[in-house]
Amino acid sequence: MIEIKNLHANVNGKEILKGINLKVNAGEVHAIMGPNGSGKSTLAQVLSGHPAYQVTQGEVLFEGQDLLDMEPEERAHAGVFLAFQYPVEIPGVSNSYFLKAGLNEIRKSRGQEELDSFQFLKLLKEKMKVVEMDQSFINRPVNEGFSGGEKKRNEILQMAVLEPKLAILDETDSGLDIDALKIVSSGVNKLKSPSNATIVVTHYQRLLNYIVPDFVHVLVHGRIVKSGGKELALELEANGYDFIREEMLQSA
Amino acid sequence: MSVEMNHYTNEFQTFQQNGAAKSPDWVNDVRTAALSVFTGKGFPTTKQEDWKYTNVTPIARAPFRYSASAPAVPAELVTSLLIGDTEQHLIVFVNGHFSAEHSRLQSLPAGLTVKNLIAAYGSHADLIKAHLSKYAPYDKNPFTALNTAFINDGAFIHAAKGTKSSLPVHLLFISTAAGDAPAASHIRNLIIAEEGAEVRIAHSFASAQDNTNLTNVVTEVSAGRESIVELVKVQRESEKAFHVEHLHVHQEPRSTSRVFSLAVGGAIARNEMSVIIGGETTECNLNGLYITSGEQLIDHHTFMHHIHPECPSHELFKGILMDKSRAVFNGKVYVEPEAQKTDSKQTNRNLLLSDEAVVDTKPELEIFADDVKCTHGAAVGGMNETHSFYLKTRGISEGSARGILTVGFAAEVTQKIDDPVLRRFVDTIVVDHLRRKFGTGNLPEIVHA
Amino acid sequence: MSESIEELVSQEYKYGFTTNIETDTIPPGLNEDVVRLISKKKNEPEWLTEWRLKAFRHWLTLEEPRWPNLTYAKIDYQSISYYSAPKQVKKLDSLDEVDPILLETYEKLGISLTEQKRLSGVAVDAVFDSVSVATTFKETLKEKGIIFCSFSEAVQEHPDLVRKYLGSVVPSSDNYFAALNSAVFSDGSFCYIPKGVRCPMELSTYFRINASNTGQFERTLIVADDGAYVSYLEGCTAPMRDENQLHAAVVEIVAMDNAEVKYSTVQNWYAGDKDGKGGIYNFVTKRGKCAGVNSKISWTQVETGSAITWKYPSVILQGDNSIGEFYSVAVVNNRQDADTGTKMLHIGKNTRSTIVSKGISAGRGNNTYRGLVSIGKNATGSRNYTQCDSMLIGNKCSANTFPYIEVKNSSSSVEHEASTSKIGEDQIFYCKQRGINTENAISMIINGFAKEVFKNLPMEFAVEAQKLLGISLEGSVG
Ligand SMILES: Nc1ncnc2c1ncn2[C@@H]1O[C@H](COP(=O)(O)OP(=O)(O)OP(=O)(O)O)[C@@H](O)[C@H]1O
Ligand SMILES: [Mg+2]
Repeated sequence: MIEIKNLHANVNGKEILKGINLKVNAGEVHAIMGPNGSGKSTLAQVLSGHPAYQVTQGEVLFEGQDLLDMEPEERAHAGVFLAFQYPVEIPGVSNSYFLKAGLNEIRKSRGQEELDSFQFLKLLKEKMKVVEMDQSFINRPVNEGFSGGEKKRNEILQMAVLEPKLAILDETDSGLDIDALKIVSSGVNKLKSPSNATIVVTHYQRLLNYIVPDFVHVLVHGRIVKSGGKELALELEANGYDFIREEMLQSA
Repeated sequence: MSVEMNHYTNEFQTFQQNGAAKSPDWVNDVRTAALSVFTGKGFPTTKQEDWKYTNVTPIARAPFRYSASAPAVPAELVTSLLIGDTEQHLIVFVNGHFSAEHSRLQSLPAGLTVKNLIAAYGSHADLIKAHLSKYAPYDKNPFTALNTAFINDGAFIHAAKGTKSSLPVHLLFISTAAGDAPAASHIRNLIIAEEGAEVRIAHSFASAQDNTNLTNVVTEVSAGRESIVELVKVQRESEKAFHVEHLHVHQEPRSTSRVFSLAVGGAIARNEMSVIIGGETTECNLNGLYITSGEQLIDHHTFMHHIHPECPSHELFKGILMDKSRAVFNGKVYVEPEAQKTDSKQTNRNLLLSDEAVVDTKPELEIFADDVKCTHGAAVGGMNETHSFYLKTRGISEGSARGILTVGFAAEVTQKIDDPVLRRFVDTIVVDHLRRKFGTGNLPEIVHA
Repeated sequence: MSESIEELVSQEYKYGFTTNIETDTIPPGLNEDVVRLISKKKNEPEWLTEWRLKAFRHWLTLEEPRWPNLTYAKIDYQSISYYSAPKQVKKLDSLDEVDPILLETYEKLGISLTEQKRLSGVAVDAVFDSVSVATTFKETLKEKGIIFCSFSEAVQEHPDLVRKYLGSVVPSSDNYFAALNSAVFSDGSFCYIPKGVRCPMELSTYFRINASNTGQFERTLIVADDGAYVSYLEGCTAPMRDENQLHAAVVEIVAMDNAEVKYSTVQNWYAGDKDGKGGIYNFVTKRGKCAGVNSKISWTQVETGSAITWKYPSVILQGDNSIGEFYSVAVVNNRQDADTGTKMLHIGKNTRSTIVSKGISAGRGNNTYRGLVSIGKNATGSRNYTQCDSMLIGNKCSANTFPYIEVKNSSSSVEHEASTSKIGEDQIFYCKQRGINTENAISMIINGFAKEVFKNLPMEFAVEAQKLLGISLEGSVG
């Protein structure tokens, strides 16, 4: 589904990603772990096309298309979704308007009928049930005044409505209480299908008990330095990142 | 004397023969004094610091005429300008003249008086004498002097001690073409809230046609002890019109004022808003939103005068600028030595949507007391990239994102309007206006957290 | 706040002594003949005499600005002597020829003019009243092709350079005080850093007013050619005298492509006594032009002296990607008035500016920040960030902020933040609880408040400035 080859990226002239290689197939769940500041969010932002990041080398193919050549909204239309680590607040604009605008533009780009308000509201309410979100959020401004956990849930709601092919969840688990963690993960699991894929960025093995990854990758200093199965996450949980750093030193 | 001053001296004579007779003699003395101040000073020029960025030559040049009576305006127009379909106490003026026909003042609660100033001379002579021209000095601003020279009619609101009005009072001023010469309306309003009274006022200005006229307003507000006055100004005159208002709020101890200014109309529009915080633990909220397009120039000059200790004041003005338009913001916070423990915050933010628009902003602090917390901030810039990116990752196009974020930018300040009815009134006008300017129906309604 | 601070004895202005030296002083008064006389005394070429006269004639048509937030007695321009110089041998071949009294004066001020000492690796041009008395390290600099000398000398030795750049940033018609300076300037420093040269040491001018009833009108011109770098320091002191003295200087800086100039000032002119008697009237025009691409001009000032301060070190950001900076600490105490700030004029594309201003008001002082940030239509992609903080100590002083922001394109952004607050009583209490006395606590807090600016000063200057801040405020806290 997505193939990242030797991806290098800068922010403010500083190189953050130093050659990322990653291939994700339909139906797979990949987890990316790594110390603070290693570049996980940067990778996620680069994949969704944030203008502050400059790709200096490498390529990214999404279903055979050159992803890096696309505008952020075109990537969304193609089916890339990023659940942000820090979702922004948009005062004055209701959650439902916002999502409907996004969904209809995505549908339009796919040649589907746009949904009218009635159809949309029906869909929205259904999806809100999936993530167990109160209906009062429908008319509240996007993320404004939401608690940290509510923002994360709202991101998953958006994902549920937009039904992406590739979902990238950037630390969606941090800030969630235990119940919310279960709800959010079961939401993610319900949306899982053989035709879509998920990349979860997380610091905690706990989330991976609920969203079971097929692969775990460790990102350090802008490179994937180790990949493995879900056991790798357990190993990291037990030993921290030091053992990887040591391995790196030895192999260096 | 210059051509312009000659014109106004002649106008004054016409006015004295026509309209001026309906008021007491002492008012006439004030008028004469104000006229000599005005003819002495003349119209302001950009050499004067207060008018540095606002060139009023087009106003000075146009031969505006005082009109002795008001032409008719259609009832549908009045209806379209009301606060939604809610009940409201409505007083309508056309070119500064009271329109009994369009006003709806039947169901005023006890203690609340809403009438035109000329009528109020009969019922509230002493009160008017005690307040009129007491707050708005005419020796500083030439437009205030001009207005004072032509004091004739306007709205008079009196809320007696403890009166709480549940419905908003709507002061609606419509300007319309009158004959060949462009019309001038010198509107004079007096709003008095006695101790413990609560009033909510929509203060709105509109044009009947897309024509040039001058609306020159002076509004004096006296907020008595522990009173609450919310005044929401909505200025949506024609983009050919000239609009000047000096709003002067005088606050007694422990009163609260909430003033909001929405300005979308006028070729040149100038709002001067002064708040005298004249008593301890008095609170003032002064906010505004201006949206300019075409070649409009909208100017806000605010003056927050802290005289007494322990008063908070909050001020947020936001601007959205399109095309070749210009906006000016000058906010002064002045803290007297006695005004210890003042807590004042002032912010001005401008969103430039065009490379040809210009913003001049000047937030000023003058502080003479040491135990204070005063901050101000000003920002000018284009669309927020991070926000716009967030929308795009959800599939929303560049164009729609611009519209949505502009609405959001506006919402952050309309949210400051306390009364939900007035807030909705403003929100609707803002979104309608932006829809027209963006040329798309595809803009969200404003919702608040 | 505690009484003990109020009772603190105010420390004397320690540079307030007078030097007894024979001077060549022309009688008070100003007219075309005086302008010619100054020019003649300095043996100037015809074009410069004419340049001065033109400035003088223009000055006559101007009025003294009244817009600043300053109160001072009317200046009688006819009662001032426009030229005063210590009598000594005409041309100095070595420092040994400098009058020992003068050398001693500078030693007392903590400025060593004797190169042998090489204390801090700083080259100094010492200006005593109207003339430059010595310039150190000239030879060392010469090896690198750097010209650093008195202005008078530059007029004689490098007339082409002077003629090319004099008035190119601050035209003689610029403002009232700049016009006056252009007509009667006596001396100052000149500095030229050739292409690609990084000046190996700090260059410095030390201004000293000594004679009474004289005005000091010096002129500094700094040119950094392509890729050059220089850090320049300026210090000033004056004796304590009962009458006010006028100081109207002009500083011009030109930075060509990729050049960088850092200009730091510690201004400690005599501020007058507690009741506002005496002190220097400091009316200064300082302006830099980032003429080339990627050039940078940075002003750092610590203003603690003068009865009246009127100065707005500015940057014209003409070259694309050029950078302008202004870092300022201004302290007023007793009866001092300061109206100071900066102008950042963005003309080129992607130009950036930063303004950090820290004002401290005590006693009956009035402190005003006045600044302009102007982003022109073609200055696309430009940025400004401004932060103005004021601190008030006592309630007989004032702090004012008058920023002007003019933006003419949508791809640029300007952000201005300002705050005014009292010195935190809880901060003082916290320090005291940890065993620090009030006086030290206040000094710590104030230095912390001004730190962002101090960190831009060269090391020795920063230390000096911190001490100065403490001294200026002594006796003010109550
Ligand atoms: N706009 C920026 N300017 C400068 N540095 C940046 C910027 N954005 C990110 N960085 C730096 O890039 C590095 C990688 O940041 P990134 O957010 O990708 O880390 P992360 O792996 O997601 O960390 P965390 O686990 O804490 O979320 C960090 O050192 C960060 O400070
Ligand atoms: Mg991250």
